[in-house]
Amino acid sequence: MTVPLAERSGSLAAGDARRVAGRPAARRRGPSGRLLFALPAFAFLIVFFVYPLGLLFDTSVREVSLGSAATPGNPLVGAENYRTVLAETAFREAVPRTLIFLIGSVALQLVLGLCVALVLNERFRGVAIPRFLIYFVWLLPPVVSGAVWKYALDGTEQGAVNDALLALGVVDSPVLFLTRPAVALAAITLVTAWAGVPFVAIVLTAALKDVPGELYEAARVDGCGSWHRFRWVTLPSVTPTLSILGTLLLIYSFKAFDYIFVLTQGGPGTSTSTVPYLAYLYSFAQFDFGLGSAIGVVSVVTALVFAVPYLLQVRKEEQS
Amino acid sequence: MSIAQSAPPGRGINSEGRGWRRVGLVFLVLLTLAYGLPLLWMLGTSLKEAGDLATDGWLPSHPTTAAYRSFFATDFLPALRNSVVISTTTTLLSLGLAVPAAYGLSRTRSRLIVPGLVLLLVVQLIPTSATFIPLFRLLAQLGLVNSQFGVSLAQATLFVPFAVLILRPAFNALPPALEEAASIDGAGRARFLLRIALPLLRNTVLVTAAIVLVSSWGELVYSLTFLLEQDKYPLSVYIAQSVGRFNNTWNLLMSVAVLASLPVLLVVLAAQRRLRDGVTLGAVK
Repeated sequence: MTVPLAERSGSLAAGDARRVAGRPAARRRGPSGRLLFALPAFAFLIVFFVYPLGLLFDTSVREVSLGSAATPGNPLVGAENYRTVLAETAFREAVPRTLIFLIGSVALQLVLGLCVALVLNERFRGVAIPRFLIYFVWLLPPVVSGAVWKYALDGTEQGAVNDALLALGVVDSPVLFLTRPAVALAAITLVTAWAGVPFVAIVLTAALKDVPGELYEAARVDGCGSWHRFRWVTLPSVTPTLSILGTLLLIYSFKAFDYIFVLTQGGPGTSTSTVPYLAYLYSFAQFDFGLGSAIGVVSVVTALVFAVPYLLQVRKEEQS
Repeated sequence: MSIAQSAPPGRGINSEGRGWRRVGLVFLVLLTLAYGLPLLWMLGTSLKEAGDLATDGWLPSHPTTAAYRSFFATDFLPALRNSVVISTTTTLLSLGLAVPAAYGLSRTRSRLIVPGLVLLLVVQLIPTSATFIPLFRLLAQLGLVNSQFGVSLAQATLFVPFAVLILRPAFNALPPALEEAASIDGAGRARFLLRIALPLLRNTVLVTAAIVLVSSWGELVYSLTFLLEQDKYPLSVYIAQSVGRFNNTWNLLMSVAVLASLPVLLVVLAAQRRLRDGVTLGAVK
């Protein structure tokens, strides 16, 4: 790379004079011309994201069924869909359930993810195996891990978990992990966390590598033990990453669809549905696009509220 | 704390306390079991005979590739072909839009940058279970419901922002002198991007493409809702629907799951270290 560069810089002066003289101003390197390269992507996002968001709101104030979804001019019903949604028991029950799911899944992912990152950064013999597994599971299609856990948590002796619990004598009869509402929600939370921990661990492993070794050295000289070095060096160093991750995980967990769909389809009834999942159920199980969209709008607004701290932080970093 | 106890510098936080190291080791074993056993369970089940499912333990007593041989007679092959079509289309579309956009947004001081980046982030944060409703209506208006290209268009809205956010820092990191030199040699921006920047950033672009490819490969919501006919479904939908359907043929389903994970295995084997750099940049920076 260096050789052609050196050659080029040799002809710099002559070339420069020629270009500047011969070229119209519009072809000079200004920032605006460069931005044109981003135009196709943003045009695409405006058509397939911004416009649909408007359409989501529009659908939420109309009566739309599957058959009339393609045609414009569905009857306007104002806030009717929102009133119906707020009165629905399914929605009212889904709100606290979603909160429990979010808190459980985010907390598990942050705590376990940090522990995983800490051990993966240590020089243990054979650490390459869990490290590989972590990367593999991170990219594994959610339907694949969902299907594996669906069978592992099967409510008969066939399920691996029940098989193990019975063999160990922990339970006398198979646990119905995915058909008893409270247990099923816990199972979904755990599986979501299982699948989410690798991402957290990978990001935190990188953050841990960036902690300057001198800090540990200094802490050691000051007589800090392992715990104090973790508490006063490691933790403060990764706190910014942890806080961004916390917001991201909150949003990602809120988006959770695949594990719910594969493990319980939101049931029994709607007992394991989160709020965004209800938008799917109302639209494609009841074919009421108006109601589904009203829940969709509520979900979008909630996601945006969750995202505010993250977006503010990004803006701050970009401007500095 | 005696000097004899202290470990060489730069060995991480647990290098000193023996007790902590032991705790770490135990945790590491548990970690390997927590992630290894479910995968072993998947592989083991796929090698069982249907009749042995109820009686076998975790591993097959009579290992057989019967499940793998039998699904060539089912609708697995069309689903596999659909997955390949959808994920390659999505990847080409996403990278085709994202590479120029990442270049366009790099190293400029325009006031449009921050709103642009915020839009990219917001796109990724909105639940897909909310966006598929209006996207369904939009695709219906365009006559693209039940079309795999429609699914790719919808998926690309997720992956274009992701790819731009990963690639932009890479473009920012190219030395400015490089572009100046190219410009003096008469290369326009497009030629600089294609002939000079892209070859230099080849690895970053390839890793980004690989992540997009496997994510599209496993994408469920849009494929599930925009495709209406069985013969158009990709593997992800095939698996998701089979989970509820064939309760007694888990060995079949697990063999499909094993094959569906192969692209992931290849990507991780080929680029594990680079993946970390990719995800770190894309997610947190």
